[in-house]
This record gives sequence, C-alpha cells and structure tokens, in this order.
Amino acid sequence: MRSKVSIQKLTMSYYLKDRVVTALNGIDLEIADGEFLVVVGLSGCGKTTLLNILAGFIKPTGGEILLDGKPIAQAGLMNRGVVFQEYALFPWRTALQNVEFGLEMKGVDRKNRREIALKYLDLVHLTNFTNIYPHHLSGGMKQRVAVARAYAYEPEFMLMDEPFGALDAQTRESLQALTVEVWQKTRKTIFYVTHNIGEAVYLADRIIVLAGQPGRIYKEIRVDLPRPRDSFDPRYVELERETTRAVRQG
Amino acid sequence: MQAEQEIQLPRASSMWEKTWQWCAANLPSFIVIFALWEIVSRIWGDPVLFPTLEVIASRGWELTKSGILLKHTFATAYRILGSMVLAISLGVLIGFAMGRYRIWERFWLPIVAVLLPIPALAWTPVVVLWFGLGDVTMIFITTFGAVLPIISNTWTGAKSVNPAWIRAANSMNCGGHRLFFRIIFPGSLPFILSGVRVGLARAWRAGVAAEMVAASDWGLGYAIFASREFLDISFMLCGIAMIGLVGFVMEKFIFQNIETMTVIKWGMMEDVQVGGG
Ligand SMILES: Nc1ncnc2c1ncn2[C@@H]1O[C@H](COP(=O)(O)OP(=O)(O)O)[C@@H](O)[C@H]1O
Ligand SMILES: [Mg+2]
Repeated sequence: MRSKVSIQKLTMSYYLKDRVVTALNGIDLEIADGEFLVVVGLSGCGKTTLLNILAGFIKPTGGEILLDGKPIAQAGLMNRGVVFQEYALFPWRTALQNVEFGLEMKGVDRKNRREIALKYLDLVHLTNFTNIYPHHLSGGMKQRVAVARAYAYEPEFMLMDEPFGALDAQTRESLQALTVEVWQKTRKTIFYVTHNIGEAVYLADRIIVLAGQPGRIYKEIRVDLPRPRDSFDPRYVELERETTRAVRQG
Repeated sequence: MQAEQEIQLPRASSMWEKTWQWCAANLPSFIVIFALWEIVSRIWGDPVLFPTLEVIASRGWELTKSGILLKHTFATAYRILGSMVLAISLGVLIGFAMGRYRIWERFWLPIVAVLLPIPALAWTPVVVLWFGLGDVTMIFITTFGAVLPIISNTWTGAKSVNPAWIRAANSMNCGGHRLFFRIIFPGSLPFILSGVRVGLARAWRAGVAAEMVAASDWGLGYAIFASREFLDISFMLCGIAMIGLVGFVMEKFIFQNIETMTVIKWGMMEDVQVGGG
C-alpha cells in the first residue's frame, strides 16, 4: 500500500527563556493509506507535539513531512481532521451546527450540509440530540459530536489526541468500538494518540511506542488480530503485555 | 415566603407567576420605605421641603399627563443610546485590537489603565469649555464613561478565547476574518456583554449627573437640577424615581434578555469574571 504520510528525520525543540526542550528527535515514520496507527508513550514523551506538527498547528524545527508525497506546509489544512483531548466544541452552536461547521467552511450549500451532518450524527448515534447545545451534553456525547464534526469534514487524514481520555471506562469502550466502526466504513487514515495500552491494542493496525525525552520511536508493534477484537484472546493479552513492557523500558 | 423561595422548582413558571413572585419578594421593602417616608413627612409637617406621598404622587401624575417627565426622560435616554452605540463600536474595536495584536495592546494598555479610574464626570468642565452646553458635550462624557469598561472586557475576552476552539477552526480551514466572526467574537461575547453592562451603568450615571451641569434645556438631570429654583421637591423626587426606573428596566428587561438568549443559553457564563467598576 502506498504511503499516506511520510515523516523523515523529524525534530522539534521548544525554545524557552532559559533552556531548550527537545520534544522530538529523529522521528522516521511511514503511515500507509487507510492505516489505523496508534502512538503510545508515557506522558510528556512528545505525542501531542507530534500530532500538532502533523495537524499543522506548529512547525517542526527540523526534518520533513510529506502528505500524499507533497510537503505538508503546502498541503494546506483542507485535508486534515482533528479530534482534541479537551472538549473543543463551539458552545454557541448546537450539535448539528457544530458538525456543519467544516462543511460551511468548505462552501457546501445549506441543504447538502444538513444532509451530510445528519449522516455523521447518525453514525455516532446522536440523531436525537441535533438541536442541543454542547453544555447540555454529557462528556461522552460531546466527544461523539467532536468525532462526527471531524468526520463530516471528510478529511483524508484523521488526527486524534487522547480523544476519550477524560471519559469513564464504559463510555470509553463504546466510543472505541464506534471509532473502529466509523473507520471501517470510511477507511480514512487515522493517527491516534493515547497513553492507554488496552485502547492501543484494541484500535491499532500498528502501534508506535514513543520513548521520552527527547521523544523517539522505541518500538513498532504490528497488531495482526481480526476485528472486532476480543480482549480475552491470548494473543491480545500477549500484545498488551509486549506493549506495556516497551512503554516501561522506553 | 423565605422557605418558598429556597425551594427551586424544576418546572418553568409562566411570566405571570414570575411577576407575582417578584412582587411578593420585593414589595415589602418598598412598603416599609414608603410608610417611613409618610411618617416623617407628617411629623415634619412642611409640605414644601418634605412633601407627603400624596402630594408627590399627584405631582407625578400631573407631570406624566402633561408629558414633561417623559420628554425629559427621552432626552436623556436618547443621549445615552447614542453614546452607547459609539462606545460599543469603539470599545469592541479597540478591545479586539488589543486582544489580538501585541502592538495595540502595548499602545492602549497604559492609556486604559490611567483613564479607567477617572469618573467621566470629572471631565465635564473641560468638555463644556470645548463644546459648550448641549448634546455634544453630553455624548462625549457618557461615551467616555462607557467605553473604558467595554475596551477592558473585550480585551480580556479576546485573550481568553479557548485556544482549542481556534485550533479546531483552523483545522477546518477557518482563518482570518472568518475566524474572527465565527470564533473570536462569539467566544468572547460573555466578556463583551459584561463590559457593555458595566459601561451602560456608568454612562447612565455619568449622563444624568453631567446633565445637571452641562445640558442646555432637556434631560432628567437638567430638570431635577433646574427645579430647585422653584423649590419643587416633588418634581425632583419624580425625576429621581424615573432615573431609577429606567436604569432598572434597561438592566432587567433589555440586558438580562440578551444574555438569556445568548451566553446563558450556550452555558458560557460559568467562568466569566466581570471587570471594571
Ligand atoms: N508549548 C510548549 N512549550 C514548551 N515545552 C513544551 C510545549 N509543549 C510541550 N512541551 C514539552 O515537550 C515535551 C513533550 O510534550 P507533549 O508533546 O505534550 O507530550 P505528551 O503529549 O506525550 O504528554 C514535554 O517535555 C513538554 O514539557
Ligand atoms: Mg498529550
């Protein structure tokens, strides 16, 4: 399969007043088209930094990133969707209007906009909450709207930064299942960041273990389990153990 | 009554119910004050210096019927409205410039900090010498009173827009003026509204007070001050009541409704601190 994203010798340093923090050092990574890639690592190892660079929010201090073979700076922002760890819904827009936002930006007309937005709200099982403002929604529902919003924009490349980290275990599990379901339907490339190893094994085609300070790739683990995955499968448990060990050693 | 108020019923009550509840809760205070006034005026026994409620009320009716009181009220309200339009336009513009551009922040911040504590009224003599008595002077003073809290709140609001909103918008190709109108403006609306509310209160106060010295022939402040020539205390009291009433109506019916329809409906009022006196 061809490469969707190609990262070469990527480094990122934050220049603070009194010192320089090198968050990423020499990252080389290829992400295949349609792949579900999960990055794990301890807090502070540079996961969010990597995602922010791929999203185009910050510029790396070194290295090169190609998206569909083109330098990412020239790719613009048109083809990336982002789901954030914190709730980033717009409070002044209803669930439906939030999902419509990206389509509005693309210049899709009102009727089509509504249709597409409703389709994605349906995909995250929220059709009954279209006209509700975010502050009336639970944490899990908010993140479902955020997922629908990112997907409705129909990006080629989806970036998710610990999107379900703040939710309770049950809600998180159902949203993980939902994420896989949506991914299987749309087949978009996903770059997913988490520090939850169970989540990584459940979601990933391939797990990248980042080791901290400065962040570098410590290990790559291919998850060759069929979907939907069964967390009691011995192979699943073994992969969890392998990932845990890699995260600890890194 | 106290106990009833503390039990918050979850259902929405009708407008009549609300009005009734409001009266039941607040009327006793007024009744006590009126009773005290009546007692003092009877004891004092001077119908000119301390008129009874009946005298005041009949004078009030007279003034309302002839339309004089309303005419003065409109004169004041019209000046305040004009200066609010000016103050909001200027204040929001400067506040956003400060919140989004470093250089404007550096330029305006010391100016705002120095001017904010000065009562607008203090400028009256200066402005009267510049523009003479009348509307220009009045609008200048009230605009000055209103604009500073609007600037300072808009500035705070623009700076405190959640960066995650901006990034989310950016990731969907929303930048420049689209970012401003769709994200920055609604995102800072709770602060802007707080600023406008404080500004309006300041303008109303400064406006009425300035009319006493600087208005030429119309306006509540002017009318109250002028009626001292005729020892018309009833007129003064009716004017004062009118000032309170209009201020109350602006706050309760206009402002609270705007907030209820926007930032409160959106659940954005939880973490807003009101700034500016
Ligand atoms: N804006 C920033 N300025 C300075 N240092 C930063 C900034 N963002 C992150 N860092 C530092 O970079 C390192 C990686 O952070 P981050 O990418 O947030 O890690 P993670 O998401 O894996 O927890 C940390 O040491 C963090 O302190
Ligand atoms: Mg992070």
